[in-house]
Amino acid sequence: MKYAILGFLCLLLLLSACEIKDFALPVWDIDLRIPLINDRYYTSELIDSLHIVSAADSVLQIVTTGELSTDEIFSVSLTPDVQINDISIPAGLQLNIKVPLQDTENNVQLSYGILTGGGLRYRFEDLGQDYDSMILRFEDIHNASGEVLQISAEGEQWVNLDLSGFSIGSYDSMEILDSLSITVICDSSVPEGTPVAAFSIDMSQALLFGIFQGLIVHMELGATDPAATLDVDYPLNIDQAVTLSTASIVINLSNELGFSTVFSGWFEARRDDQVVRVPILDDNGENYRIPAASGLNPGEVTLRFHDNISALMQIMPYHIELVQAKFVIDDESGFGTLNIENEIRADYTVEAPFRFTLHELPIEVDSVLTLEISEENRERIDQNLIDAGLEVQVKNTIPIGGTAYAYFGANPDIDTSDPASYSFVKSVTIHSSQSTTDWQDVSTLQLSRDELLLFTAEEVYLKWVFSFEASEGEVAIYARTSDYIALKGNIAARVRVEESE
Amino acid sequence: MKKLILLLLLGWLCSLAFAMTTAKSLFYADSYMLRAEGVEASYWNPARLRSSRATDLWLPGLNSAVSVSNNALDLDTYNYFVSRDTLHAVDKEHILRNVKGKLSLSAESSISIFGFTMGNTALSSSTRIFAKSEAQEDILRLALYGNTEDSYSFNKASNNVSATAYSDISYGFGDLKVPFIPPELPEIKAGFSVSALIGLGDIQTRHFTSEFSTDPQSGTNASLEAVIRSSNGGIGFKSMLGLYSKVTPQMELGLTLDNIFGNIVWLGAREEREYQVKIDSLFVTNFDDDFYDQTDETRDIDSYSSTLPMELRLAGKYDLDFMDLSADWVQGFKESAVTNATGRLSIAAGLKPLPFLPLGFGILLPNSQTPLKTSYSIGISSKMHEFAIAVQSYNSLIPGYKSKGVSVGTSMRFWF
Repeated sequence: MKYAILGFLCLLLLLSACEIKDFALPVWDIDLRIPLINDRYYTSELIDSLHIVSAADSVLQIVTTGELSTDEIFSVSLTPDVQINDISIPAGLQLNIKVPLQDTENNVQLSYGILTGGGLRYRFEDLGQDYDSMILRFEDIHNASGEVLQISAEGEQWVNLDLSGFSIGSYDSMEILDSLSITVICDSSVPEGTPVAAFSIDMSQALLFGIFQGLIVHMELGATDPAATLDVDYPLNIDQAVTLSTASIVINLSNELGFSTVFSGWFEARRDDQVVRVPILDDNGENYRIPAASGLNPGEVTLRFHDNISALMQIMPYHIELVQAKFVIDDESGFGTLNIENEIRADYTVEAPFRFTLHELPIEVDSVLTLEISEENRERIDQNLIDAGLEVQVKNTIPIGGTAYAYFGANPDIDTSDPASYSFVKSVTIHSSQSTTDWQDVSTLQLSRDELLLFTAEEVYLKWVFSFEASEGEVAIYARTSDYIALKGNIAARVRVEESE
Repeated sequence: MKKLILLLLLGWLCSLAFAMTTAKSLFYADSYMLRAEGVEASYWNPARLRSSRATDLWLPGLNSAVSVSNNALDLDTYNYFVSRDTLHAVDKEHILRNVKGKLSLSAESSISIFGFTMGNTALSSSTRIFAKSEAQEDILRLALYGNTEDSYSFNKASNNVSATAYSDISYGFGDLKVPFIPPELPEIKAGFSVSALIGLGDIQTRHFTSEFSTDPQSGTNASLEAVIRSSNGGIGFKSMLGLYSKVTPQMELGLTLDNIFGNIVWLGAREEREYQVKIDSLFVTNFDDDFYDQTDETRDIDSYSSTLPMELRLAGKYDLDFMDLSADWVQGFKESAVTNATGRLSIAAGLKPLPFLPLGFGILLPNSQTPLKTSYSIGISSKMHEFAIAVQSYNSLIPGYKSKGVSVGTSMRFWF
């Protein structure tokens, strides 16, 4: 038995001689490559059909539209300032009298009009008992029903007659009415021709017309204030590095007035204290004349401003405004019709094609981004991430290149000129198509272990600075299918595998 | 990553719990046909069930064996792995050096339930469990190096799991003299055994393909399709024919044909689970919660069969004065969870330096499917009982740091 036990023990010894170490997971690093992106970003994707459109030559352009209209026209005013007193009225005879109807300022000549205000005064005097009836007929003045204005003698006091709603003259007669015809009819039992009364008429008030036909020597119609404004908000202060080459404003004018008008005003561009103004004039240096409406069809004209507007855009304005805009009816406007409900409307379109010159000037984004790192990710970064980077290739077929600088820091007060205020900076350079149209390797986005440890804080702060690659002269951005920036690449990370606590 | 490793270890340990081999056969590295007597002869060569033998008795669980092995990792590698603070490239290669294409884990077990002999007959029952899993080397490389390659491809041949468990109730009848043998030739005995099989459980990988690729052009693309079939109950049958002859006083020869009509029909809770995952062109920039499509469908299926392919065994044994030597050649006819189509040879020696101290040694020579196995056993015996234990080493002559698997077994028999 003892031999068996001895042999058994020998076997156990043989087995137990093997040391089996306690399990302990070592740490090791693995390389992970995770596809990040493979996309093309076409310039045509910028088109929103509202503010960014593709022009006929496929050049992208910024478009801003707006409207302006003339201020409300209250009335056309004519002041005859006529006073005629003590006109004798004979019995049995029809008396015809002409009362001058001329504007004291010689600004308007009436052919036809419907009054919205104004009137006249009249008075009968020396009325005896020797008449049956006494009527004055204003042959050129009609009420809304077309009946001639008639007044009867009913006393000797001055009577004010409001002419609102009455019309003067004949519509579309095309003849200037320089006087009003008044017919006096008196039926009386006294011998014919015997004066039975007298009357006076006072037309010193201004006659206000809501509808007016005739001639207007001068009448100004202001535009809604502000007439036309455009505030330009340059993202990321990009105006510091870009000079727009061209821009244009197109104004489509629609004139409901039956008078042609002269359009005048200024384009004003402002950038801080810089102000540039250019007058709205045609190629001959003259103001534009807007044609009159014809019947129900408004007079329309399209005005294009190009060269002058480019001068405005050179200062990369923050604000563009159409100032002192007005429309003037003048003596060249001729015979016409005006309704106070008429207006002149202007639809304007500001077009700024993507043609510009880029300057190598850093553009610093004012705001600082706050990156919040979750506790789980902080632990993973702290325990597992050894280094990380992007293996990215870029293909750029548009003539804009540049470098993006990312300043990372542990506090939000990042001053890009003070290295002590941030932890590290990374940059990516993408050359424009003027430099190369091949795939470009972007291999500088590599974060070391020490740099990654910044992301073990709850919050990390990031400030961007961009710098365009200076262009060789003017560049244009097209919306063609061949114009894009393509990105493809992986995230490459070295991750530590270890037993979590 | 830690979870993956723990999962692998857990799988290994689970396999260990079910890991079994034929009980006392591992004492002699499978060279056991002409050593099996009593109840065991019913499983190894029923021709050797002899009327003259005393009644042999199996008690539950006392004749059992368990084995667990893999094709690549030994204790030395394990110690190397756990003793490193940090794994560098050379350490990773050290771990991977023997993983030739795939990592295979297998386990096998045999547990006796009961058994006894009456003359030249035997009635017995035992349970056998086989489990096997394979994983492609690329999975280990991914775990150790990350996705350094652009694409990976996985298939069923290198990635699968399978497990089968069944119990048998066997009846053996032997010691039958083969007639018409010329008198000048040695006597040949014949025997047979039949086994009713009770399927306890079966799980098989029916289909597995997986692709995984990453590149900046098309992103991350991955697909996985797996079909797993399982059942938790079945019935079956198998039988064995055996021939035995003692050609000289020292020399014995034997032949068996096992698994005749071997088949298990799985009838209980049959289902097939089809699992699919697909990821198309995934980039970090388009990542969201629905980055993958997944279908997981389980459907009932008709009953199916697990065939136990036939296996031919030839054996010889020679008795010397102080020891006996044996050799067994096993040739399966088909690859399966329980058989190999590649023939294997095992040889063994048994001796009793003292009347009560049986010792055994066996060696299974390696082939393309089977690793080198060496067995050592020791026991104590008397006229009425025998108790022995054994240990078997894989890929190493002596159980130790280079072993890639180990089996242990016990044997306790009584006869009267």
